[in-house]
Amino acid sequence: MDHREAANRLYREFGPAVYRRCLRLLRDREAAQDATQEVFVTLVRNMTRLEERGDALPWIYRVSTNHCLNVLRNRGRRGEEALAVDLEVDERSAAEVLPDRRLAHELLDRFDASTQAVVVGVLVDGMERDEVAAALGISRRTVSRRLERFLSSSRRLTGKEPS
Amino acid sequence: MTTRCPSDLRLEAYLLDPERSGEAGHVAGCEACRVRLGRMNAEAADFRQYVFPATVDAVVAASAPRPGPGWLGVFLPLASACAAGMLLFLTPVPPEGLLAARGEVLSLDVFAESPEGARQLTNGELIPLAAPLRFRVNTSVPCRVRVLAADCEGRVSELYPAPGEEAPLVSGSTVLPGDAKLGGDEGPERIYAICSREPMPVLALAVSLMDQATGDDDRVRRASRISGLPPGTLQATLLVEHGEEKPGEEHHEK
Repeated sequence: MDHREAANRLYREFGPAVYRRCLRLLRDREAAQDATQEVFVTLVRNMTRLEERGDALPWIYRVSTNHCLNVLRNRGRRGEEALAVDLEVDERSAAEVLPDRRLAHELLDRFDASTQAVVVGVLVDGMERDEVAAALGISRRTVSRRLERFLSSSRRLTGKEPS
Repeated sequence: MTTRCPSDLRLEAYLLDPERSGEAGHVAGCEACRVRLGRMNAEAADFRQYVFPATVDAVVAASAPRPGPGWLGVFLPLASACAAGMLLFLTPVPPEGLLAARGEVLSLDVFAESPEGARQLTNGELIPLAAPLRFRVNTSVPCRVRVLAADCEGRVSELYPAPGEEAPLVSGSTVLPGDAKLGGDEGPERIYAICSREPMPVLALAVSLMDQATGDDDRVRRASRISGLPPGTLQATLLVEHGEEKPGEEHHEK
């Protein structure tokens, strides 16, 4: 199978997952289309990983998330909509953590890319910490540590405590 | 349903292979998940109808492997290498921060700011996490430079230029403006200077670093060269080790 054929097949198979991820984070159809194209160029350049289907989805999630968060940060720098405005907090089990999620909305763009990815995974996507750890290729302990740092810093910065 | 609904990532796995995903039982009995799946399928239809046709040619073209150098391209560097063989034997092995490609070189010097002034770091030196770092590169050819760092937990940080900015063209010895703090935790972290003739997407670089230079402490310590970069790309690296973190320090804010 030549490059064109293989890339075409993988884009058709995994493109929807990338597009959905970008739509979820960017909440803009045209921006999601551009981001999907950019992310997939990177993915196809590492085609063998896409062909190992067991590992492909977490990797796709990681690359797509990092890219879209970067797009959002750049928007903020250009004075367009800020990062927090674009993120739709997951409402599943919202009653338990809603105060923290509100803090996430207000403060996420103050933090580095890696912490943002953890926070988005746990507080926006509603993922378990183990799942975020597997998707981002870091330990569960690191996920917990970064999340806790984010939350405690957020509370300190806003002077708010979770109810 | 009383069990927690699966994340979007798990539902993606379900869409790819319902049986192997382990979510089929939950989805069958969960109205909320079926609604989510309906939305995901609608987005997939949107992708197939509009996004795929509009972007597939660009994706295939931009991701195509670069053509090889051909026989002449292989022969000439080999001939040059043979001619330079004696010289290579007589030349001391360069330090880790100086890696040559086709006679072109890039070096990276890293300085830690301290109350006593700036101090140049040596390879493998233990530094406090919060230490502001400055960078100096020296390149034999004009190229566009980025400085990134990778740690054992899979984290890649853009140290220079600021995220979102285009890599500036540098030539000769250049002190890069501004300083940067590393965001890793305890353990090793590698700083890379990557200098390319053409602008290189930072995402592609980050993925290369993530794949080759992160994962565990030993991988970070050993990853003194990143492979798979475009031909002619120069690189230099310095390993630092983070000391014990002091309680109450915040390192993850910008």
